[in-house]
Amino acid sequence: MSRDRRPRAIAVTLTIIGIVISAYLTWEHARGASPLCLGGANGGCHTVALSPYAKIGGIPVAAVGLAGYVALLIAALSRGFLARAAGFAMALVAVGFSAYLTYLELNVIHAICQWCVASAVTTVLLLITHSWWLARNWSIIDE
Amino acid sequence: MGTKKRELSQQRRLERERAAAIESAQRRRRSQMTILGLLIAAALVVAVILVFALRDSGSTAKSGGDVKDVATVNKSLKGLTQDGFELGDPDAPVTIVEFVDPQCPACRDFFLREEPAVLDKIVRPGKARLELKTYAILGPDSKKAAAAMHAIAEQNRLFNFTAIFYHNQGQENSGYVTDKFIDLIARAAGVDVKQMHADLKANGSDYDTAVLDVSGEAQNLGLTGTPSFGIRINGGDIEAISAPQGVTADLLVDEVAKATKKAKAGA
Repeated sequence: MSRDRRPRAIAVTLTIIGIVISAYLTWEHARGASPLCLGGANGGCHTVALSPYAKIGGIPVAAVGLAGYVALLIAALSRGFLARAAGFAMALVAVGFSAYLTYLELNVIHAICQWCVASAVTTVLLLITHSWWLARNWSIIDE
Repeated sequence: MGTKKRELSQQRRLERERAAAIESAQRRRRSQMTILGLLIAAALVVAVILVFALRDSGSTAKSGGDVKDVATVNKSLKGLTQDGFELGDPDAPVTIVEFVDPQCPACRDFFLREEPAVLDKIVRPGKARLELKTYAILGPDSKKAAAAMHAIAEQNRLFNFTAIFYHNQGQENSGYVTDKFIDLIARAAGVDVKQMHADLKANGSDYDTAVLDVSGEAQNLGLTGTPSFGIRINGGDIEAISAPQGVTADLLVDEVAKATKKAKAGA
């Protein structure tokens, strides 16, 4: 039980951070506003939010992120090896997707949104946490 | 003798149990490996699907697909007079001059975010008119689109074309500005595409020269990027608007108010 307590606490905390970020961005998108940005009204968040890459098949990218974080939260709260493996696999998708979004921001959109950066960092930390958690569960077999 | 036999039997049982435990652990490991492998494979498939879907989202109009936001743009310009490169009341004493590159993402941002307020607060009430300058600085694709903008200005549909272009803008210098793309946007903007091609064929070199002239004009004003803005009073010289924090509709409202005062004082 104690084997899971710490990684679960970290994973849940990180996932809630991700949910807050993506829920805020989804809400701003839904009301047609730009997110608050360190660069002010002309900051990178506005440019990213207006770019054609802000939607994926007509669905706001932020909403896709929100769905992903909710799935990660369910995995983090679930028990068993399947939940650990699913959490790891979803964190892997999240990191890959965030990496591609960051590439688009740097090379295509030419603007950086601090919310996207915060989410990308969260996904990397989630992948590290889920890898560690998976490894801890994996070691049960060798004992 | 009996004790030795019992010990041997117990040892064998323990060995069998250990072997069974090892086998069970190995089965469990194989099963976990399979689960993990399948989930990682599924994760990779999902990631690839997401990346491809997002890439497609960024190239909406590139392949001749739907043109976005045509109704919004045409509605925002409804009732405003277009005359070549100018929009709004031809008798307005003040003109806001906007230097734009069709491929420039910052110009797109301005058109999507600030232009509607510029139209509502400045152009529609007749406080100033708006003039577009095709400052093509991002390469051959920009020059190509700029030449088309000159042909479209002849049909007084430049502002529709430019706004719809920005609403459907693709990746800078990715080759999306094809003849097909320009035709698609022009058609959505209400341009007579056949006439546009005829004008491009007949006057293409003149348009190219005009685009180069705009670059020279912008450089003389010290404007190095797009979008850049200037203001003209009573048809006089353009004065560049300096705004290190970026130009907004509200800033242009203030600039127009100041210029109107100057125009009145000078009259």
